Amino acid sequence: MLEKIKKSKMIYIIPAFLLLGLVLVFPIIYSINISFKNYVMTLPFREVVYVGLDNYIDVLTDPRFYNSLKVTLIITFGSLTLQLIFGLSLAIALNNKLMEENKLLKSQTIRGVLFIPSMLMGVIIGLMWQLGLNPTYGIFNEWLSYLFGTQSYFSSSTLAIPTIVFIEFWRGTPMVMLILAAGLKGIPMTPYEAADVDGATSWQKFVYITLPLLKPVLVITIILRTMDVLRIFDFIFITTSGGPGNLTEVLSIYAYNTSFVSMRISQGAAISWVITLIILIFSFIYFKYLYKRE
Amino acid sequence: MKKKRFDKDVFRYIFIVIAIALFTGPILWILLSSFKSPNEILNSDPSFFPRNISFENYSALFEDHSFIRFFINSIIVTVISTFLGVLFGTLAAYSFARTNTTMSNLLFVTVMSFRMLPAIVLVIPLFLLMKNLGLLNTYLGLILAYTTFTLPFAIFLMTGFIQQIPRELEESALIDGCSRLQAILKVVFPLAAPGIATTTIFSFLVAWNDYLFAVTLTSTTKVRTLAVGIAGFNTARNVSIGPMFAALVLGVIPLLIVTLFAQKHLIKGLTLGALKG
Repeated sequence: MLEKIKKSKMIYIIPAFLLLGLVLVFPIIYSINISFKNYVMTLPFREVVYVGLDNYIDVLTDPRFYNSLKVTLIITFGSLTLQLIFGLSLAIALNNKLMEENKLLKSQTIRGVLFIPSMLMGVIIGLMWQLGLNPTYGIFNEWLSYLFGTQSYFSSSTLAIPTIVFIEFWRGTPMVMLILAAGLKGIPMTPYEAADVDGATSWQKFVYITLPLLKPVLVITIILRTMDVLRIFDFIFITTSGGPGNLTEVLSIYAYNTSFVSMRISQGAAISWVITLIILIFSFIYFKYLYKRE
Repeated sequence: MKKKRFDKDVFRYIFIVIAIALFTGPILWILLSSFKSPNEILNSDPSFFPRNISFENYSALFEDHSFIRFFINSIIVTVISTFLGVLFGTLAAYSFARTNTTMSNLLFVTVMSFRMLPAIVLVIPLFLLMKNLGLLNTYLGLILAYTTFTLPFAIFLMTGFIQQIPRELEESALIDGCSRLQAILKVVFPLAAPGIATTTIFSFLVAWNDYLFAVTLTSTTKVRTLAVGIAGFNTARNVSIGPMFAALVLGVIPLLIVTLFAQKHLIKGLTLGALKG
């Protein structure tokens, strides 16, 4: 009888799992399978055969792969560092009694307004900055020209990557701020009150109370954002499509271009699995060295 | 002491104002520029505020009916894939929340691991499969593709929400003679309504913002979504820059409305998704 009830509770996963089997599990198996073949979209189907690990070997010996890995890592850690510093400062600045009660500048409202960039379509973010930084009619290019002169930010070999790091910073910081703000709210007041009694400075309170107590949330934020930026695609594809040359070609764009521009779809599938492996390695390292040490 | 406190707060306010300018400035500039005349937009001495108000960009945008088509396509695809994800996801979440067997835990971990997959892994086989099944350039193809993320996400969020609902409520409904499905639909679903709202809004946003699936699985105006439509402005040579500003504004507005009216749900979904992940 008990078994029967237990069974009847599990039957509600059936619709979800039928759908997931169709749209997720089957495509995953299919993708692993073709990554071991020589499928090129222009090739007649009868010439498609298994080629063993050839695609994976090709990828791992392709300088373009290492270039895209390097670019992805630069963008990920460059923007993540900025996001954490700025996002944490913002979360702390807004986590303040005066601000929570201020009618004109209520923390809650400001957080909502600041959150907008994190919700926008990658396409819109890309085009917005492309228009704003346009060398002729872009207002931000005009303002920045007082500092750097008029520049083509997306096609310059020195500025393309910093520009993309900045846009990712702009897009991701609000999200970091919001998660850290939720974490800050969970920190009790008592340690701060005790520190006040002992005459601690703000900086000491930050280093010895806020940071250690916020560590679990910080770690999760870092993990989450790293996973997100490692698979970055949309706004870079819209603005530079990986150019100039393949200077800004991140991993996902490399896989996309190989599959759908060069039509070497088997190799594209192999790249996509290498990307997955990289993401897995990162999450493993993070969990091992950051998460467990509490 | 009082003086020092004042200085600190001034610094705080300046920092916050700079942050607001930085994170909303570009959006504001696009909004204000969309009301400039197409010629003023291309002026090589750009201004932040329009010198003359003009609606030319908007009328030009709507003259070409494809923009409305993109908008409607996005709504159709996003609403149906969100609905499927939330409905099936909530049912599955019920199973996961109410069972604690090795098997169910293993299945749950499997679903969660799907969330780690980058979209590019799925888009390549989905393109080939849909090409073979004739589902390229169809709503069904896109809807199915979007459930690859709306469904695992809904299962994940809703399991957390349903776990917080006491079992006693549905059990008393069972004693009163309801079947389990009735108990779920009449007791659990209404109690989980805030969670369902959060999940719906979040799934909607992620599906609405997708570009990679849409650009790969569609190539005709008939089914193309807003993201691909707007991106097309960048490459279409016959379209002038002015209407692009108007298109960006109209693309941002649905998101602004969601932020304003569903801010609590968004923050909850985001922090739950982050803190429990």
